Amino acid sequence: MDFDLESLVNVEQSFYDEGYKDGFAHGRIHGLIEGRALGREKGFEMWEELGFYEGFALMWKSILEAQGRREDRAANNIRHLLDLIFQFPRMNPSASEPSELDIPKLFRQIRSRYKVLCATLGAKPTLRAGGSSSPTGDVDDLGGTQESHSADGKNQVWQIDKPARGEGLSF
Amino acid sequence: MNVDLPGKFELVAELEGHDDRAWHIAWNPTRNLLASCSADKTVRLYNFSSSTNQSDGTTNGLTFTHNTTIPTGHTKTVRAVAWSPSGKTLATASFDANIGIWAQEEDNEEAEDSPSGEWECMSLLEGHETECKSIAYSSTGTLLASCSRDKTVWIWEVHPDSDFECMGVLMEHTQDVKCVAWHPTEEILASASYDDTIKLYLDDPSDDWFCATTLTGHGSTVWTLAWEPLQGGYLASGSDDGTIRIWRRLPVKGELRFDCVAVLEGHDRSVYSISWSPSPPSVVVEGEQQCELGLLASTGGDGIVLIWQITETTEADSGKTVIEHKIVARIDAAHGVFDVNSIAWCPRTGLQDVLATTGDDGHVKVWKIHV
Repeated sequence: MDFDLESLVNVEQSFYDEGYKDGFAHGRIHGLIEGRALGREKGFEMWEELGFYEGFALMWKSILEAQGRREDRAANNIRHLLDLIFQFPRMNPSASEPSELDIPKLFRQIRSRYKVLCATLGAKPTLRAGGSSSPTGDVDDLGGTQESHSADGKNQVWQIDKPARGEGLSF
Repeated sequence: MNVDLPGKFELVAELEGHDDRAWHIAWNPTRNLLASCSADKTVRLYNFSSSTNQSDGTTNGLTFTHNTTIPTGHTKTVRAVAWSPSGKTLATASFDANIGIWAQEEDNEEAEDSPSGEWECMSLLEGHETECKSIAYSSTGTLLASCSRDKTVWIWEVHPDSDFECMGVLMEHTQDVKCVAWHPTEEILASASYDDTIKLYLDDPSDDWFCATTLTGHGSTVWTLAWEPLQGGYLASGSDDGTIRIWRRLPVKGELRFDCVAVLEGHDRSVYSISWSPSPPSVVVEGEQQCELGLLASTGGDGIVLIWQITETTEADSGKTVIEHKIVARIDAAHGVFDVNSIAWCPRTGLQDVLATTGDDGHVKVWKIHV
C-alpha cells in the first residue's frame, strides 16, 4: 500500500497554507476596494482644500486685474500659488512612470504660499472643513477667532442639543 | 563639595513697575536703552548711564531711570521684544498673534541718549493664528522672523517706511515654535520648538525659504537659542530637560551641517533663556590653540543664573577641536522664588560685563559680573 506519507505528515501545514492562500486572495480584493474608497476620501479632502486655494487665488487675480495692479507683490504671490497648485497631480501615476513628487511637502508649500498671500492681501479666513485641514488627519485646532468657512457644513450636520429621550444614552 | 567659583555678581539695579510677570528684555544695540515686556501688555523702557565715582576714580556706577511705558495696544500678553540693529525700531510679539512695530517720532534732539518723542505703532503685522512667541531681526536688519504656537515661522522683509512684506511661511515644525534666532553674520535662521528639535532655514535664490537641516538630541522642548556672536560657528540651545547643548557648524561646502559638541548640565529645571556674550580675541597657548568663545549666561525655572566660560581648543597635532566649558559664576534665587524668564548680556561697549534678567515677579534686575 502506497501511502503518501509526505502529505500525511504535513497535513496541518497544508491546511494552513490552503487557508492562507484563500484568505490572501480574499483580502487582496477587499483591500483594493477599501484602498480605493480611502483614496477617494483623502483625495476629496485634499482637493477640497486645494480647490479653495485655487478659487481664492483666481478670484483675487481677477480683482487685481480689474484694478490694474499686475506687478504687485500680491500678483506675484498669486502666480506662485497657482503654479504650485498646478503641479499637484490630477491623475494617478502609472506603474511605468512612478511619480517622484513629495505630496505632503508640496501641500505644505501650497499652504505656506496661501498664508503669505493672505498676509499680503490683508485677508485671512481660516478654512474649516470638518475640523481638520490636513490630509494626514491631524486635527489642527487653529483657534482662529476670525470667520470660518465651513466648506460643506460638515461640522454642522449632526447637532445633538438634547438627547432624544430626556435622559442620556447610558447603558 | 563647595568650590568657590571665580566670578562674583553684583546687583546693580532692581527695576519694578510691571504689574504682572515680565517675559523678555532686550538691550538697544546703539542707545543706552533697555526694554522689557510683560503679561500686563506694556513695554517699559529704561534709560541708563554710567557714572564714574570720582573719589575712587575707578568704580563705574550704572544708574537706571524709567524712560517711558508703552501701553502697546496689544490685547494680550506681550511675550517678546526685539530691537532692530539700527536701534531705531522696536518689535513686540504678543499672545494676541500680532506683531507691533514701534518707532519714536522724529524729534530734533542732538543727544542720542536723551528720551525724545512718543513711541508710536508704525505697523501691525498680522498673520499668525495663535500666540506669537518670539521675534528677531537679522544682523543686517532687513529681515524679521517671528514664530508662534501655530507651528509656523514667518519671515518678513523690512522695507522703508515700516512696510513689511511677508517673504515666507515655514511650516516645518510639528509643534509649537518657541524661539527664533538669526546667525550673527549670515542669513541663516534657527528655530526651536516644543517638538524637541531645532531647525535651520536658508533662503533659496529662487525666492523660497526652506528648512536646510534639523538638529535633534534634546530630550524635551527646546526653549531658547543663542548663536556664538562673533562668527556664528556655534549655536547654543537650552531645553526643558535642564541641559544646554552646543552645536558646532561643520565646514561642509554647499550644505548646512551641525554636530552636538557639548552638553552643559547644571540646571535642575528647564532652561528658559540663554545669552552668549562675545569674548576678547583668542589666546595662543603653547602647543594648542585656545579660542575663548565668550561667556554663556543661562537661567530658568530653578531661578539660578549660571555663567559658563566656553573655550574652543584645537589640538595642534590631531587638528581636532574640542569645546570645554566651566561654570565661572552663579546666582541662586536671582528673582527669589520666581522663575527667571529672560536673560541678556549688554551689547554696549564698556558694559560687556553687565547683564539683565527678568522673571515672574515682574522685576527687571541688572547685574554686573566680575570674573
